[in-house]
Amino acid sequence: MSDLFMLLCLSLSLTYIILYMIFKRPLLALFIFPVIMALGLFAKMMPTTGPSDVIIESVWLYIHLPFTILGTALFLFATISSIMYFVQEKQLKKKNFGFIFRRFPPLDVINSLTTSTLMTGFYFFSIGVFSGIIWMGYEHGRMGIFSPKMIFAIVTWFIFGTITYFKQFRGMTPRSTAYSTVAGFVSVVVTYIGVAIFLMG
Amino acid sequence: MQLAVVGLNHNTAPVEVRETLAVADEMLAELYKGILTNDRIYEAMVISTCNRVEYYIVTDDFLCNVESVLRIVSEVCGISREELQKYTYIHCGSDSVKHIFRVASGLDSLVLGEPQIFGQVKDAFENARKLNASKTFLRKLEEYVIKTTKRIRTHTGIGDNPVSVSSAAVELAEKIFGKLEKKAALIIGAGEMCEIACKHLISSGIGELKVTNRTFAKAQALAESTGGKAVPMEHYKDELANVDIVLSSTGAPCYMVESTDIKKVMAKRKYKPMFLIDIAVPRDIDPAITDIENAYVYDIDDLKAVVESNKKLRQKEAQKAMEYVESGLESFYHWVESMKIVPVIKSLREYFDDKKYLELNRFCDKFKVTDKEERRRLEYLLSAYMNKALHTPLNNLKDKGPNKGKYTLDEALEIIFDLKDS
Repeated sequence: MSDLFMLLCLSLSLTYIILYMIFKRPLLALFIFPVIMALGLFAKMMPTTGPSDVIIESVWLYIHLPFTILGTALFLFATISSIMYFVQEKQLKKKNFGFIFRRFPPLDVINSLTTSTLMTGFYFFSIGVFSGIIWMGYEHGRMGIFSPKMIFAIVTWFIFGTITYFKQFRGMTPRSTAYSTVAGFVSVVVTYIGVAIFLMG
Repeated sequence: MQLAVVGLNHNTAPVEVRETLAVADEMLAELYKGILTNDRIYEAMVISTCNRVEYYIVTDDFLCNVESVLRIVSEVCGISREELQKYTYIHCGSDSVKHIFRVASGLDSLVLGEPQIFGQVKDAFENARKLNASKTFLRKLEEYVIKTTKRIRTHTGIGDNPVSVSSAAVELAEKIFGKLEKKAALIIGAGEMCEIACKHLISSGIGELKVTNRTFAKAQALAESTGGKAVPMEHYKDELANVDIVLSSTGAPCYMVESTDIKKVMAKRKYKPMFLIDIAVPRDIDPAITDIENAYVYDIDDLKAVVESNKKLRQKEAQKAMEYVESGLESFYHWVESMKIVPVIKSLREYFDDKKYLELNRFCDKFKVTDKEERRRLEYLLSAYMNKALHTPLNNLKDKGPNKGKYTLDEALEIIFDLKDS
């Protein structure tokens, strides 16, 4: 389990580096590094159970794990930029041009950061979820597929899928995008807690 | 030698006096000639802009020479001495150097931190150079003025926050959209405010500019001068879906852009943000648009509030800039002091040169050296030795000379010849 969180820390750092190269917004680090620190500490406190204790290794695991983790990392960035969007939009509407306003990126940049992390995250997460379903099907049959954590994973996938669909084909206001991204991320967290409970026993 | 300045600016003289004293480029040659006929004035420079006219002179007797500058200026501009004295300020020595640093970096400008003055100061230096009015002192000063101003511009935020209504509006637009290259703007109206706003948008690299006005010819004229496109008044609402920025400044008694107009176009725009700037009184843009998601409306009062807060920020930065002025002043005066030692270094070199030739001639006589080639080689050897031997002490003299410390003779020798390290 601690390995899983360590892997998440690694993906978050890696994702930050890639996003920094594209968007040149070091401010993201202010939000992401506390999360990485907290996850690292959390991983330290976790009992170390190797995947082989509970899980039978298979090729699907090696597809499922990295894609899900990377997808999650990207969703976390989408959530952070959604929160940044709320803050910056509020400053603009309230005409409050103080300390925060000056340091935050332009609204459009935040919006495109949300969009690109969401889309990429969704593709990764899709591969992760479906390889997970196949793998669970192999290992545990129907019981595995309808376990609570699987249901949550599918719900999460549906939330992000809906956002992606609307953004691509219907047009969606940035504010609704931000709200639904935060909601989707809550569901991601719930899924992870489900995984943790499942692994611990 | 020291610098002195006689000048007047927007704080000390009304515009009618400033325009009387303004110096046109074609007058410069005559003016410099007049000032430099005084043989105690070695160099001169004139800065003349719409907000200031300043005469800088390099002299060794500043009191009587400032008098002569005042006399010349009053003759050339046809204004009495008493009148002139009423409006001018006079600085001398390090105060005048500090003054030109402050002027060049915009710390003395009407709009604190404005960048244009730097270009005007550079031009003034260049003109003085072309007309042979500036020599060693002013050329070195120019170097330090440019260096200090660039440092201030780079390391302080003196020019960061716009302090005019239209540039504040463009800055807000950049805070919403980031780069404006792929954005389109619609300007409603073709008055002076709209013209200034157009210029600001163009310099920020706006992708597309559309202008509409009740008198179509005026819209066309403004569009032509800015490289935009004129839109007839009856069709401007059709453009709302295709533009990201709307700026309105007309004399219309009712709203030019209604809340319902924006509601209609938002879905068509795929809910992309829209920024509406209203610089008209009575207002042109319905303030209710603020309630529409992703539409941002700012009126003249909002922009003025931004400008006010930016002015305060600039004043804070001006204090930081003064530290750079002080450090620039210090390094410039270090150079001035080191110049005092130059004659000593020159005579020292001459002394060694004389001795070199004296000994060379004696050697050639004594050992019957008649071959020219051999003599050349000997001279080369002596010169090489002398240059090597003198390099360190002369450099030390130049560097440590301006140090105001009092040394005993033996201490001085130790410093000059680096004897402590060897």
